[in-house]
Amino acid sequence: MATLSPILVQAAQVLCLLLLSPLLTGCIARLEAIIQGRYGPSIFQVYRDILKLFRKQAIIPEPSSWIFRAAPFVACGCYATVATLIPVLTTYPLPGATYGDILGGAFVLALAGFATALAALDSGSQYAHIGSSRAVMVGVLVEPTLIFVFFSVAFITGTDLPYALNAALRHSAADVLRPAHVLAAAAFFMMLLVDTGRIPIESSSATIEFGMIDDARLFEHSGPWMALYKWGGSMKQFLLYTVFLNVLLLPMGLSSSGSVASVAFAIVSLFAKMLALGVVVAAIETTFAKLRLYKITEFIGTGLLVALIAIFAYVVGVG
Amino acid sequence: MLHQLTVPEAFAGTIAMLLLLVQLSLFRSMVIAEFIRVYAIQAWLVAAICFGVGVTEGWAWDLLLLAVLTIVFKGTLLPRYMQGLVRNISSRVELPARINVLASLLLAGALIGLAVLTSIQLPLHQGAFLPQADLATALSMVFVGFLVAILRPNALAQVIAFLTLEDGLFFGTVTLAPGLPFIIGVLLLLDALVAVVVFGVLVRALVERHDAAGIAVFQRLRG
Repeated sequence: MATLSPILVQAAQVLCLLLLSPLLTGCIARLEAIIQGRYGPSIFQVYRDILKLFRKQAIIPEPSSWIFRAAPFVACGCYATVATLIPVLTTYPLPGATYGDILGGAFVLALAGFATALAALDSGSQYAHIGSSRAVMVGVLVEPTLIFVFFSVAFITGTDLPYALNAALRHSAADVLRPAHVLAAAAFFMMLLVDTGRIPIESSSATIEFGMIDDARLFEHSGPWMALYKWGGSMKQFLLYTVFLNVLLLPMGLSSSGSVASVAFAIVSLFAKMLALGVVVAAIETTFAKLRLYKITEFIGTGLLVALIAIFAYVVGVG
Repeated sequence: MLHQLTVPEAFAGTIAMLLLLVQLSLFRSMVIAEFIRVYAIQAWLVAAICFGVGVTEGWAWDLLLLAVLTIVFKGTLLPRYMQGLVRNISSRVELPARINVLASLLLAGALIGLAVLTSIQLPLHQGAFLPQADLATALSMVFVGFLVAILRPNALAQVIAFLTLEDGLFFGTVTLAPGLPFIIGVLLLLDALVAVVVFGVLVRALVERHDAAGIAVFQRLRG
C-alpha cells in the first residue's frame, strides 16, 4: 500500500478544504430547501457562483485603498493556514501542525475577520460599515465563550494542541461523554451556529440588510474579490465544522497511517460527518425563529454560561 | 491527573448539569406555563437521580418508591394541575424581569461559582456519588432559585422558583444522604404540595383581579 509523505498529506488537507468547502455549503443549502419543502439549488451551485464571479469584472469604490483589494486574499490565506493546524484528515501531526495551538488557530481566524472588517470600512459604504461593526460586536461576545470552551477542553485533556486533543479523545471514548466535555461541545456548537450565520438573527442566504451580519461587509466587493469572499465563507464553515467534529465530538475515521486508501477514507468519512451535522444545522435553522438583533446577547450569554458550567463541572470533579 | 469517572458518577454529573441548565432557562421564560414546564422537567430529572441512587444502593425500596412518587406527583399531577389553573391567564400575563437576561445569567454564573468554590473547600468523604459535586449542584440550585425569585417580581414565578429551589434540596438530600428516612423524602414531597396550594390561591386572586381589570378596559373602549 502506497504511503503518502506527510507533506503531501498536509497539501491534501488544504486542498480538501479548498475544493470540498463549496460542496458542503451547497449540500446544506439543498438540505435546507428540502426541509422547507422547496426543490432548492443544485449542490454544485456554489461552485458555479464562484466561477461566474471569477469571470466577472471587478468594480472598486473610489475612496478605497490597497486594503480593500488585499483583504480577500488575506482572509482566504488565513483559512488555508488554519487547515494546516487542525486534524482534517490525519490523527498524527503533519509538518507545521504544531506551529500553533487551538488558540493560535482562533487568532488566525480572527485575523481573517479583522481584514474583512477593515476592507468593509475602507469601502466607504454605510451598509458595509454597519456589517463590520455588527460583526465585530458579535465577535467580541463570541470570543470569551470560545476561549472558555477551549480552556475547559484543555483542562480535561491536559493539552490544547488540536492533534493532541483529538488523540486524547480517541484514547478514552468515555471522555467524550463527560458532562464537562459535553457542555463545552454544546457551547462550541452554539457559537458555531452564530459564526456560520445560522441563528440567532442572521439568515445565511438573506438579502435584507437589516438581518445581515457577515454578508453585509461584502457589499462593495465584486468580481474575483467577491468570489474569494464567497469561497472564504464556505471555507470558514468547513473549518469550524472540522474543529467541532474532529477535535471536540467524533474523533473517529481519520487516517492513522497516511496510506492512500486511509486518506481517501478519511475524506469520505469527514464529509459524511459534516453532512450529518449539516442536517442538524439545517433543521435548527428552519425550525428556530430568528431573534431580534439586541437579543443576540442572550443567546451568546447562554453559550458563555454553558461553557462556565463546564469548567465548574470539571472543578468539582464530575467533569 | 484526571479522575476516571464511574458510571454512577457520570450519570449523577450529567443529571446535575441538566438540572442546573434547565433551571437557568427560567431567566428567559416569559410566560408562567413555561415555568411550570421547567418545573416538571426538573421533577423527572430528580426522579431519575433518585432512581439511580436507589439502584446503586442495592435496590433500596424507599428510594425507588420515592422516585415513583416524584414522577407521579411532581412530574405529572402537580404540573398538570398548575397548567390547568393558568391556562386562561398564562398567555395574557407576561412575567416581568428586573434586569436583562444576560445580566441575570452572569449573576447566576457568579453564584454557581460561589457554590462550587465553597463546596470544594468542605472535607466531604468520597462516596459512590461525588459528594462535592452534589453539594455544589444542590447549593447552586438553591442560589439560582433565590435569584429567580428576586429577579422575577411575580408571585406565581416566585412560587415556581421556590419549587425548583426545593428540587435542589431534594437532589442534595438524595445524593448526599441516601440512607435518609423515607418519611423525610415524603415530607419534602408534601412541601411541594403546600407550595402548589399557595400557587392555586394566587392564581385565583390573579384571575379575579385581571378579569375585573379586563372588563373595565373593554367598557372604556366601548365608549
